[in-house]
Amino acid sequence: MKYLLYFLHSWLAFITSLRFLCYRPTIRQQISLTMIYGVGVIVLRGMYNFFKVPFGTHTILLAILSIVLFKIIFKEFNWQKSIYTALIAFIIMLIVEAFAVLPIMKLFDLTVDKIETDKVLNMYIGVLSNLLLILIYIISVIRDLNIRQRGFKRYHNGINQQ
Amino acid sequence: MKSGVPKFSSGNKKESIKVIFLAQTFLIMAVTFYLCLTKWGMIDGRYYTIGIDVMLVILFILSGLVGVGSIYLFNEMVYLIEIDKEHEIQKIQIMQMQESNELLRIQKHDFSNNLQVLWGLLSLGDVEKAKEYLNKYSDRLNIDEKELIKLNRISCTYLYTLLLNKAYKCKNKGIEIDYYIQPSVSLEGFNPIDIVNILGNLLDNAIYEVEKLEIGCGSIIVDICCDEKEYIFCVNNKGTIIPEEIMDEIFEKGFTTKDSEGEGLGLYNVKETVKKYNGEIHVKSDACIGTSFSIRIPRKMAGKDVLLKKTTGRI
Repeated sequence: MKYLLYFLHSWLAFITSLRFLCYRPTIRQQISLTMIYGVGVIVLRGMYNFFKVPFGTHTILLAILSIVLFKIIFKEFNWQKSIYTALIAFIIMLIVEAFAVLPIMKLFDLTVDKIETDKVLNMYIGVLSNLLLILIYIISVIRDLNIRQRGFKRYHNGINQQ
Repeated sequence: MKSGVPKFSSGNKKESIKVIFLAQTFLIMAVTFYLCLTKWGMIDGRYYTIGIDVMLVILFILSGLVGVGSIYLFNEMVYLIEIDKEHEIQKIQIMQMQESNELLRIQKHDFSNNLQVLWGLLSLGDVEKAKEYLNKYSDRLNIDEKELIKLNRISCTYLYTLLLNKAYKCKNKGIEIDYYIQPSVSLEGFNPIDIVNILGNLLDNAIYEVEKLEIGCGSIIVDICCDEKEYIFCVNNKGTIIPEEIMDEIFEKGFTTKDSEGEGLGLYNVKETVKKYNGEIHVKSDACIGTSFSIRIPRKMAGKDVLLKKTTGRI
């Protein structure tokens, strides 16, 4: 369940940032990005068990991974576009963590280790951190639908046409 | 031989500026988030942490970098805005040259047809008719001297070229166009792109509507004047009216009354440009006056572009 949430989180974060930039990836691109990044999350979060690295190193490494993934999977992206797309995704994730996860952790006196070890807690925090991403995704879908529905009006011979 | 130094285009610079800005934002947010986690004891013993003092030093250095970076970014952005503006002006110049070329091409084609008619008349020995024909034709070719004098009052080169091109276009189509330009009016404070955008779109629409009418049934009047408070631009075309039911929709993006050639952006762009100057656009349409678009722009708003020109330049 924990790993499923990682994959969902990866998909949401990247799809949201791409929609934010008005870019619609193909299904194949979405799957490649989600699967590779999801595996990266699992591996890099697990590295704290083996290496004595400061907490937060996984975020930096995941950011670098996502930049490389954008460049490889989206052929039309140059390095600059890959970097700022990845940065937008991570900034969105940080905002979500700051507004949704941090207050909950403070309120209920939770630590990172408690969340990692408790499956139920992990699931709730995972869903919570994805909520804002889901909201932004829904807003961008609605925005796209509105633009397509408004379409192109023609007034011809006294008749409104669409 | 390829040079090792990468050349940065304006597009690349914009993307680089985005990257720098986003990278700084991300780093500051990440460090602040990390500080909160450490201060509130949310990272327990299992994880290795960097001391708060080290994080604060990192945050201090990053803030300094942001400050320096912001000055550089501001400089670059102003420079890019200037370059973009120059490109827009060049596009207008090219567009006006293309329009002039098109008019010349039409006139050339027209000229050879008329020469053949003259040759025919002279071959038949009908000199008087040939003279009459030649008088009518040369009358059609030239813009009225009075109109040229009025146009010469305009200080803005781009607007002068636009109005002259439209005058020739109307002449070719047999449409009467009159300009009323206040002698003292100075349009220096306006961005030439905006003036050309506003009047170009309104005139194109007026010409499109009037040319559908029979020759002599329609005419266009362009009025440019100003008083102490505001500039007034008015384009009136007699002979065509806008139906009441679409009056509210004509400024909407995507709305057009032209067939396949309309994109529905002309009046929308005019409205947006006028809004930029905190101006107002009014449209009146009835059988008596025809259709009249009048734009009022406060004088103080027009001067803002002059201020921007004076303050741009690298620090």
